[in-house]
Amino acid sequence: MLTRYRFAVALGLTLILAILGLMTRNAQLALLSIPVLFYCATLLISASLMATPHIEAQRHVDRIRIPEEETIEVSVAMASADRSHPMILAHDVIPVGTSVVSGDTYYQGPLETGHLQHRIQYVLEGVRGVYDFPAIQALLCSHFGLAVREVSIAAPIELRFLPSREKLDPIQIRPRRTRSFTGPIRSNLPGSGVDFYGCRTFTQGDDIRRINWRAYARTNELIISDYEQERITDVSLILDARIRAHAFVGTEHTFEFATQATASLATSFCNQGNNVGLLVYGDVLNWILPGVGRSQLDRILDALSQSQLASKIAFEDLRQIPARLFPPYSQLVLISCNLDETDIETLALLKSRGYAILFVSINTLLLERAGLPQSRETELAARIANLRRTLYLGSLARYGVQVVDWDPSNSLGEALERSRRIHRRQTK
Amino acid sequence: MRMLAGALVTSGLVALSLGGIAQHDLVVAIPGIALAALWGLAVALHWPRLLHTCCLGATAALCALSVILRMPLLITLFSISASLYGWDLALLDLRLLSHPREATFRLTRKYAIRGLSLGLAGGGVTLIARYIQVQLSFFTAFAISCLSLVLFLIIHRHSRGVFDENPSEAKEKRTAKPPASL
Repeated sequence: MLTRYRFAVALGLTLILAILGLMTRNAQLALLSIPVLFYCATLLISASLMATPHIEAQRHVDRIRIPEEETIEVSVAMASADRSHPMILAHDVIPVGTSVVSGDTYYQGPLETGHLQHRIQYVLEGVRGVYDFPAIQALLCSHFGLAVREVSIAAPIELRFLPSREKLDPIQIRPRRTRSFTGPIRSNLPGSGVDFYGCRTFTQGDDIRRINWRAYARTNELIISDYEQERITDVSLILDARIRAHAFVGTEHTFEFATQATASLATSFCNQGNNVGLLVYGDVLNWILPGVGRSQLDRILDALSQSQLASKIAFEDLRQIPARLFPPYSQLVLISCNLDETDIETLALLKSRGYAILFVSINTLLLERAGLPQSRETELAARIANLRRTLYLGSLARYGVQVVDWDPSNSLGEALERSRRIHRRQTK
Repeated sequence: MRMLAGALVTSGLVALSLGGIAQHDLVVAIPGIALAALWGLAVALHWPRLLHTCCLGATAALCALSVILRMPLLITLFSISASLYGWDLALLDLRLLSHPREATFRLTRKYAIRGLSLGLAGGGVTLIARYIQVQLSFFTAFAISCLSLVLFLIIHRHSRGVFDENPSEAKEKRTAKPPASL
C-alpha cells in the first residue's frame, strides 16, 4: 500500500505540474515535473521487478512448556521460496508479557533461496500465561530503486509459561475414603502396611508371620498385629479466582502466589500417585477431571498457566461450588487469600458432608505493611486486619479444617509442616 | 531515517526561501520558512502521512510560484527534488516505527544512498532537458495535456497489479460478491 500511495501522489503531482506548464506555455514550469516523473518511473520499474515474494519461516523452540523462572531460546529460520532478495528487514514481534533477555528479534540483510537458515535467535522470558506468537513482519526492498513491500510471514507457535513451583515434601492428608490402589495415604483400614494399626485374635487363614509372639507369651492366646493400609486418594484442588478474594501487594498480585501454591501442591500430590483434579473457581467452571500421572500434571499446569481472575455474580461466594463434582469423602484443597463469613460457612458445610479440607490461606499482611508508611494508623489497621484474619482462621480450625497460614516471603513447605503439627495437636 | 528526511525537506525549503530573500520575493520566502518549520516538526513528531503529503503539495505550489516569479531554476529543482525524497523517507520512517531503531540502520543507509543517487540522476535529466528547445502552440499544448491525463489514468490503472501487497487477497476483495442479505 505504501508504494502504491507514493506512486499515486507523485504521478498526480507530475500531471499537475506538466499540465500547468503546458497550459501557461512556461517551459520552466513543465521542467519541474521531470524530477517527479523520474521518481515515478523508478518506482514503477523497481516495483514491477519485485514480484510477490514467497518467504518461508519457521520458529524453533526446544520445548513449549516453560517454568516461569526459566528462559527459552527461540530461533527463526527463513528462506525465500522463489528468488533471492537483496535486503529484508524481518522483525519477530514477541507477545505482550514476554521480554527478550539476550539476542535480537530482527534480521536485516539479504535473503537467499534454498534451505531454511537460522536468521533470528533470542532468549525469551515471560510471566505465567499462554502466548500465541503473531506473524513475522518483514519489509522487502527491491534490487533497484525505491519500491518496498511489506509482508507478514506466518510461523505459528504457542508457548506456555507455567507458574513457578516449589518442591514439597510428601503432604500428609487423611481423607475418610481412599481408593483401592496402593499409595502413600493412610486409609484407616487394617491390612498390610508400615504403621501399627491394632491387635486382634488369630482367625483361620491369617498369615502366621504376623502373629504377635510377645502378646501370645503374655496371654497364651494367638494375637495378630494389624498394620494400616496405605492407598491413593482423590484430591480436588480448588483455586479461588474471584477478584474479590485477591489483592495487589506492591507490584505483585496475590493470585500469582495462589497459582504458584496450587502448582506446587498439584505436583506434590501427583508425584505421590494420587488422583488429582483441579477446579478454577471464579470465571467459568474450569474443571479438570481427576486423574493420575505425568500427563494429568501437565493438564493441571496448562490450566493454571491460563487461569485468570474474574468477577462473576454467579460465583460471588463459595456457596456455588459444585460439590457434586468432587468424589465423596475425598480430600479438598482450597487455595485463597481472603475469605468472608459466607465462605467459612460453606467450608464448614463441606466439612460436615465428610470432605477432608486443607485450606491454604495466603497471608500478605506483612508484605502489605512493609509497603505502607510507618504510622500509628497503619499499626492500628494492621492489628485489626490481623485480628480479623486470626478470628476467621481460628473458626475454620474449630470446624476441623486444616489451615495452612502461608506468608509468600517464606517457604510453602515450612507452612505446611507447621500446619500439620498444629492440626495434629488440635485433633488429639 | 527520520533525521535524514527532516534534513532533506527543510534544506529544500530553506534554499527556496533564501533564493526568495535574495530576490526580495517575500511571498515565497516567508511561506517557505514557515513550511520548513512545520514539515520538520511533522517529521520529528511522526505526524500522519496525509500531513506530509499536504506539505509536499504546498512545496510544489511554492516551487511553481517561484518559477513564475523567475527565480533561479536550479534552486527550484533542488527544492522540489529534496522535498520529494524527504517526503518518501518520511513515509517509510512512519512505516518503520514498529521495528526496533537499531534494526533499521542498514536498510536506512541503503535506501538513503539509492534515494540520493536517484535524486541526483533526476536533477541531471532535468538539466539536460532544459537545453531542449520546443515551440508549441496553445492547442498542441492542450492536446498534449489531454494525452498526459489519459496516460496517467492508464498507468494508474495498470500499476494496481504491480503495487498490490497481496494480489490474491486484493483480487478476492475486488471480485467478492455482496452477502445475500444485501
